[in-house]
Amino acid sequence: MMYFLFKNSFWKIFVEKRWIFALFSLGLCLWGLKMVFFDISPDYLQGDLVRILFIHVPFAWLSMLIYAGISVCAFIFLVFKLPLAFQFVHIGAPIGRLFTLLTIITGSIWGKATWGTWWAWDARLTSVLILFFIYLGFEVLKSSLKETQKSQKILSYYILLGTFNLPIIKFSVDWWNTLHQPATISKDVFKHMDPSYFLPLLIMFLAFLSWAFFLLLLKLLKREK
Amino acid sequence: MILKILKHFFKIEKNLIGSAILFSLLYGFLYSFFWLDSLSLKGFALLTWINILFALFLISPDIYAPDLADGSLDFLFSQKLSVLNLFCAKIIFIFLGYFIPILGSAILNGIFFNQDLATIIHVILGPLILAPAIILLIHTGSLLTLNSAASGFLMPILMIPFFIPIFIFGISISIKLQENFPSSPLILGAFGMDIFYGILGIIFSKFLMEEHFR
Repeated sequence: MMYFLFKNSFWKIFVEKRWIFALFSLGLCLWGLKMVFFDISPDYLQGDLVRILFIHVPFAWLSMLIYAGISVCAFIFLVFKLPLAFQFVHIGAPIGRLFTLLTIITGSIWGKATWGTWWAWDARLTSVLILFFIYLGFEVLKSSLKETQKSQKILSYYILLGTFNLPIIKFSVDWWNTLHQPATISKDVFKHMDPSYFLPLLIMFLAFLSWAFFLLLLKLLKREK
Repeated sequence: MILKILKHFFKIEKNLIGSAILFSLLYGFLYSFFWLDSLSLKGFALLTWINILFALFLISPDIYAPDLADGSLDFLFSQKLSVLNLFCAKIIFIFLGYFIPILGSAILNGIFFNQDLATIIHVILGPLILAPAIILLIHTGSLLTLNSAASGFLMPILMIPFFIPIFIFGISISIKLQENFPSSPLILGAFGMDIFYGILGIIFSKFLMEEHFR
């Protein structure tokens, strides 16, 4: 696999220059945090609490995005039998689990201050918790199987089974009466959100995205060593 | 061929079927001690879903165990049994042998809890709509047990995250049906779930069965 990574010039650039992603992420994060804490004004309803959402929302997006990504990789692995695709599933799942855990933690802190409770059995919260359990289940399943091509296929199917949870997370706020507010980022994004909030949110998302990419490359190299 | 295997399954797994039905009836009986004799539809649906999923969860590690223990699967394979026939027979057997009797005992529990007929029908329709997804996931869980070194309930436990949305959808369907709102996106979502888990369950089961019974 390493042979593939270093032979393929496309991946070689990414692997060799992986620290650029870390520095890029750090720079974006500092810029984003500066905007979040110093440039934007508090929300008329939530006050300063709104600042938590600039890390909670990117974490939530990433937890779903990573799951969607590893599902695509699992599908590619099963259909085209590309070993590299499974490597992305293998190393992407712990990163997705980390972001899902951070989503739950930051959401709980925000929930305690806003709703007065750390946790509510709300459809959105429950479906994100299920996503976390699927990530955990993947780890447990991985540790209970010997690493063979058969186990790689079983793990890929397991990931694909969990894909149905993604539309449930997305539409849970529309399908059920939830405590969690409906989606803010939609066609009429500036109807639900002040335009000054959009850029910091985007910057924080890009910062965490590049951090996730850096972790992915780091884990890929570590796995090979 | 499928009928022959089905007869065989009913013969050798009658104890397990009996245990599942007894469990379901005792479950309702125990709740009746808590003076829950007139539950709301939501409460009754909740108890019914816990009953169905818990009973199926308990039997899932043993779905293939009796056939493997007495060597009958080896015998059937020696008589040119195909994996497809075995799969079809097992799915039909889980539906007729476990799912329908457990659903029947849920109806009896509804009578114990003084539910009216309409409520019982609305509650029972939820699991029936989601039956393909439930059965294929149970079957996949049992095949995972066969294919891994971990024994007991580990593999069925790993399937629980996929059952929770089914559980939530099932209860929501019953509520929507009682509100005469069948065009709800939840019902479409439930059918989507059946198709998704149905197709993926068949492909996953085929792979696991070919690996184990090769």
